[in-house]
Amino acid sequence: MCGVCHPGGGSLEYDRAGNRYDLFAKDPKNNITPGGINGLDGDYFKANWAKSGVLEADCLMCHLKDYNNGLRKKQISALNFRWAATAGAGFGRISGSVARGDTPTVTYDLSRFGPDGKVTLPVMKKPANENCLFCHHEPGWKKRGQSFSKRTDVHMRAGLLCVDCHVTGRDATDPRIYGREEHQIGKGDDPGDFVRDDLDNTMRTCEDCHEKGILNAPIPKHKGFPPAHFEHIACQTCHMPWHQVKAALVQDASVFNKSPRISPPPKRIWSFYGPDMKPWNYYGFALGYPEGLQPLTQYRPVHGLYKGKIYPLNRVYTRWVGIKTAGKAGIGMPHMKDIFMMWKTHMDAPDKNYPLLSAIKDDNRDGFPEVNRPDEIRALVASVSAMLKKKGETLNGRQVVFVDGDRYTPDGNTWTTIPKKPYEYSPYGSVFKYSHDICPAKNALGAKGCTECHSDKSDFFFAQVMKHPFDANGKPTYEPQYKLMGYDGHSRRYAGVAATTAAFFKWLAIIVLAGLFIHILLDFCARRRDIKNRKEKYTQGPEGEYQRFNPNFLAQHLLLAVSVILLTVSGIFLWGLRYPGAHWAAFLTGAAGGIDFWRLVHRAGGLVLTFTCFYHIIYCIVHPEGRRDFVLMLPRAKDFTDFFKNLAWFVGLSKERPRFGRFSYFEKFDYWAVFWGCIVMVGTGLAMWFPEVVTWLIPGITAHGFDAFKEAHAHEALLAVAAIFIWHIYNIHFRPGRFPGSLMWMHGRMPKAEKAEEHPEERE
Amino acid sequence: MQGYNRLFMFFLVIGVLLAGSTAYALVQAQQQVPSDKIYEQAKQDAMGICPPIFLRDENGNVINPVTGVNADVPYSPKQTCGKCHDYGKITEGFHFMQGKGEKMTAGYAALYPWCTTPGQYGGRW
Repeated sequence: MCGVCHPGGGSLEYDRAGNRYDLFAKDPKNNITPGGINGLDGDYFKANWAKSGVLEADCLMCHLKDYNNGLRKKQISALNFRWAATAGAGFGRISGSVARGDTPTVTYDLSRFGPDGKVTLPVMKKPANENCLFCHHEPGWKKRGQSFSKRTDVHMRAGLLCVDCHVTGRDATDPRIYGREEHQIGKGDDPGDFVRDDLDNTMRTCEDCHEKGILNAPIPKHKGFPPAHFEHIACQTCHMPWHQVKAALVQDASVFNKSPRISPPPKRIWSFYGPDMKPWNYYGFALGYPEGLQPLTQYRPVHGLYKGKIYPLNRVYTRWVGIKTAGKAGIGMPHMKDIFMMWKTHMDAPDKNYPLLSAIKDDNRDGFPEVNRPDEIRALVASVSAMLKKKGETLNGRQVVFVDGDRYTPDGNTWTTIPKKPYEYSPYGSVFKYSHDICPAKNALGAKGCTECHSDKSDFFFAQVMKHPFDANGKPTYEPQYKLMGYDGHSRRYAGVAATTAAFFKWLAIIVLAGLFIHILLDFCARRRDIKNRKEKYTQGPEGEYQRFNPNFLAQHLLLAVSVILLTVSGIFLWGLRYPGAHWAAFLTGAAGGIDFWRLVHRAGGLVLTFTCFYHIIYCIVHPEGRRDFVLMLPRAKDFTDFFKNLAWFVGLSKERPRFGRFSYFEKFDYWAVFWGCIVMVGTGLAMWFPEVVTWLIPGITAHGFDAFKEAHAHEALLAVAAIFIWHIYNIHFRPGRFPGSLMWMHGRMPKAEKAEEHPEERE
Repeated sequence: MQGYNRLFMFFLVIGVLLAGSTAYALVQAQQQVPSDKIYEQAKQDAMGICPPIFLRDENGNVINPVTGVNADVPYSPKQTCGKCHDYGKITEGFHFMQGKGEKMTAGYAALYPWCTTPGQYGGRW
């Protein structure tokens, strides 16, 4: 009964036309018969408003300390609507029941009144949590799995009131609900609830308190968490690694629930399954506990994508018998009591009443039968059709169907899919975000390191989520959770500045690598062609060596090599982060110490690289040879003519190679590529390492901005590594005549014969 | 004669000004909350909680169980609390309305053609 929870007012006071029920019913000209059919008008059908009165909004239900909701419910059950508020507030004792045909009487408790006859009410301006739970306890449990208790929630443990977050009146900051005596309670955004969606997200958010310290909330640093986490993952996802209170995962209305203590009996048409897919006698179970107390059952909540963020969700899977009308949208439902009576009469005489229902068996031996095989579906559909016909309903143009999640069938063989949202099992099944029962920060996902999520053993990506509750054998089928989170094992697709950055660096890499590859191919062929002469020239050249690079230069090269090796090796393991949902990627990210270790190595490599950059800059400024080499590294016209001459030599149009100076054009390209690469890699790397500094430097930067840094870093890294492995190694080790390389990187000396060949214009 | 004309013009201008200011004051007075109501609201804010009050029945009559006046009828929250508080405004809150008066969205209406509001009166599992 609606009024058991709803505080009165609105639909419990006024009919659809805005008339107060009792006044309208009393008015003779409206021809309302107490308890009569009254034209099948849902507002007056079998109602006795004139006698029961209406349920006015009961202010004290929320605002009175020690309000007794049990007494209120008792009066409502007795149809004593007019007297319910008096009983609940404890002003007096009510005798009689409208349901039994009495006219109730009230005996006021004089101890509640002063000598002048006035009451002094211990009114709470902000309602106590207990008052909110009068109504929110039960619906908060069955499908939402909420406990609102100190045992399970840090906020309750901290002594917060519901209205501290669900602000209202002049405590609210959102103009949609702010105002004197405004009673639009600040609300979140529940995917399964559609009342006043225009007021969604008017409550205080996690960030409101935990970024500003409101209500003395601790301000977390989330040190080490890339900003993308906060853009894509809701706070409660990580701060609820386990959920403590069981919620119904499946509501099966296709069989009869014979479990004990289900009241009232028509509720037996519903069977519930918990998150572990085991039958759960919710109603009988709940009866055994006092209001506000739920037993704890720890399980991993399912993570799904809702409005662009990953939330812990309970998606309710539904199975029921519907009525599909040809040419009409939606699927109707038979009356609950008719389905109940069908089952009841069948069980009274299985061979006589709806005998086909006997075909429905408990295939999986879990104690509950399930409609899962085509013959069982046909038996159920035929029985419901027979029941409706027996009631006198014509099924012309209407067809009884079995609805299983997001599909329905008339015969168990041909299924029609119902469009749904990606986070739903079915458009007819509710979806609830888990937002309460937050665990302490030290237990949050990620507190023990990145591998809590980023490894192939992590439930975060690879937990098996129920897809269909019953296959042909009555067993559930599963799918990996990453699919529900919107991941498919591929790298993310971006929009805006991140997409532009990614595209720029991707094409830069493609063009540069293609150019390098063609150059190498031509160079290789030309040198192979010319190799005999080259050998003769080498042997015929001047003897001895000359010092090409000084110790500073060699140190810089060595540091650069060390940093590149560190960055490349660690980068390979970190690369897996780009492919959420891919097992190979998760294996990489979780391997050998996991992301935490490889990120440390990567940052060490980054520091070496940054140091090398500064070393090189200072060297180029301070050291005479540094200044000389930097000037010689600057591009000039000869480089372009050398390039074209070299191309001519490659294709045999010229017999002589261009005469290079200290640095050839491709060495200059190598240098400036590294120069550019260092700027991009160090810049974007530091930006990702110290996001708070970037936010301070660029106020208002969004997570998309950080995504752009990430994309630039990744693509440039790929270019650098590919260039090093293709270009640098070819030129130093695999170029014809060079293999297996030299120790010039250690001593800095080059044979004079080689100098005469490769750098004839260089002055010693 | 000229003096009379001046006198007539003087009173005409004064009359127009008076009439205009009176009309303006009346309009303003209609728009403003009566000062006693402002005072009552200020008192409520200052007290923060309800002072001792009489319970009232559905017709607004005082219930006084001590003297036995009207002591056999249940109290009416609407009449009792509504004496000081804006019952109409308060009950516009969605906790009270539960979807009443709200329009169905097109998507919701297609799924649940039998529902008249998005209130949770049945339909969605």
